[in-house]
Amino acid sequence: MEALSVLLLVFILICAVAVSLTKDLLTSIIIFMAQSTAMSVVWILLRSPDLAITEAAVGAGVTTLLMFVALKKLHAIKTRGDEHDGRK
Amino acid sequence: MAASDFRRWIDEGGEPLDARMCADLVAPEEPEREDPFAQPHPREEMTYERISRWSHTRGERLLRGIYCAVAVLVCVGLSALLIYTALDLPQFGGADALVDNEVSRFYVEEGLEHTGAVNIISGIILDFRGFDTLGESHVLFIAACTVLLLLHLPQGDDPDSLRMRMAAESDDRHFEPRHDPILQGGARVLVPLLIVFGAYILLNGHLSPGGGFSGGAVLGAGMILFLCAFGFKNAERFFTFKTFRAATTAALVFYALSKGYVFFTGANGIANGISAGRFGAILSGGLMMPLNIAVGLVVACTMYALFTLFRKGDL
Amino acid sequence: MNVETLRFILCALLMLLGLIFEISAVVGVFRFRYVLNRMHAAAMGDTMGIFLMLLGLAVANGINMLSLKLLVLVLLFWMASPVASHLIGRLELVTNEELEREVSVWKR
Repeated sequence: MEALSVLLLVFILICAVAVSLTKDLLTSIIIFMAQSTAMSVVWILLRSPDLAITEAAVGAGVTTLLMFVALKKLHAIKTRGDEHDGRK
Repeated sequence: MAASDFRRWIDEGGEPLDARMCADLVAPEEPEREDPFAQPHPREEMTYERISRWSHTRGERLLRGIYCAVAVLVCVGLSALLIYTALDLPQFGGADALVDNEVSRFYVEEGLEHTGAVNIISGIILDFRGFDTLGESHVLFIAACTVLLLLHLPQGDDPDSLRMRMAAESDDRHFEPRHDPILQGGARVLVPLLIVFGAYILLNGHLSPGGGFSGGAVLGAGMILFLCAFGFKNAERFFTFKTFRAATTAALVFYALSKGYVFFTGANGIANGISAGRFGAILSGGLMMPLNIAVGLVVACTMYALFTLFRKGDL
Repeated sequence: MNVETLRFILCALLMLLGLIFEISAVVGVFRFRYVLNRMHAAAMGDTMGIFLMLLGLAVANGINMLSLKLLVLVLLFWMASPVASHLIGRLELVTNEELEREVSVWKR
């Protein structure tokens, strides 16, 4: 259990740094969602299921959805015609 | 000058600092002076160009470097401070972890007696600290109002607002799955499950983990899924601007009436006369369940309203 | 060999199989080149891998309420994940102009 929580915390740290360093907004939102999901597992390990449910529903679900919609509103999501990314 | 001009500014929306209002603010004309850059001395020109070049190339790089260094220093310093503070905390679940704290001991030992909620977290956030939660629900409501102010499109019939709504409509139609049979089939199974699960979390908030915020978020997610699958026409059958206004206002007014007095009495709640009921029964905990429902309604309506406003510019 | 050992072996087998599916899904997401291939790999991990994992957990837990909840979770994943994959595939079909060069598209 100790190893799992250390792994999760390291993952959260890496995600938190990656969110701020990523140039692409879409990618950083997805990384933020992954961080939120890992955070909810950490809340369960800390025995607070209330916060875990809220984090999973609000942090990973609805916030991400709203950010996607906001990006679409701003036309900030790059389409394939603009640039050849997302593929090796 | 002040009063009449101020009223005129309010009424007509003109510029406050037009010529008449700031007539006495305009500096007297300066006497004609020779433009220093008009015919510069050769040596001065060299200096000027050099400074300009420096500030655009090496100076910018230097400033950026300083900025990065300071940012890294601040981040590392704050992290070190945080870690140093966290090292002082007692170990999680250890024997010496905050047993001497009067408040938390009171919450754990006598919270059940006072609030009647088996889930002590729900008892704390809705009873002992009900005023905090009142503020949190108002934050959500204010967020929805702000988005409504910023993104609301005019609903009139004049060509301008029609054009704006058409543009938003075509923008929304872009890449959007419309009448997708597979999504509709999935939503037919998932939306009732989500709504039932959200209602379960909401109503069971004083007995099991969960409560207003998480249950409301699940309810809102179910409604958003319904909207994505079946379109605005079908969603408007159960959720319009009137529903939003009625639900959020009723929930917030109810919450404020039942918990607002705590602002004056501090943590000493007034006995509300509702019996705490049998511990563990669904109808127990006094005002806990209605307050949970109120918070959940506000959260669900806010989530759904934000999504709709972002997509359509209207509720 | 009593029942407990048998149950443990069954659970371990199921969970190992699920782990293999999950790992192949992750490898597929990172190694495949095109969106549709990646989507296929990710969907496989979300359906079969999670199904085997949760089935293994249910076997380890025995027959009680928690196992029923795990199976309901499987049902939920089987409803949600293929629909999400379908939407990703549809979005790719709509937005990618060069899809013809990657796969053969059958148009109605």
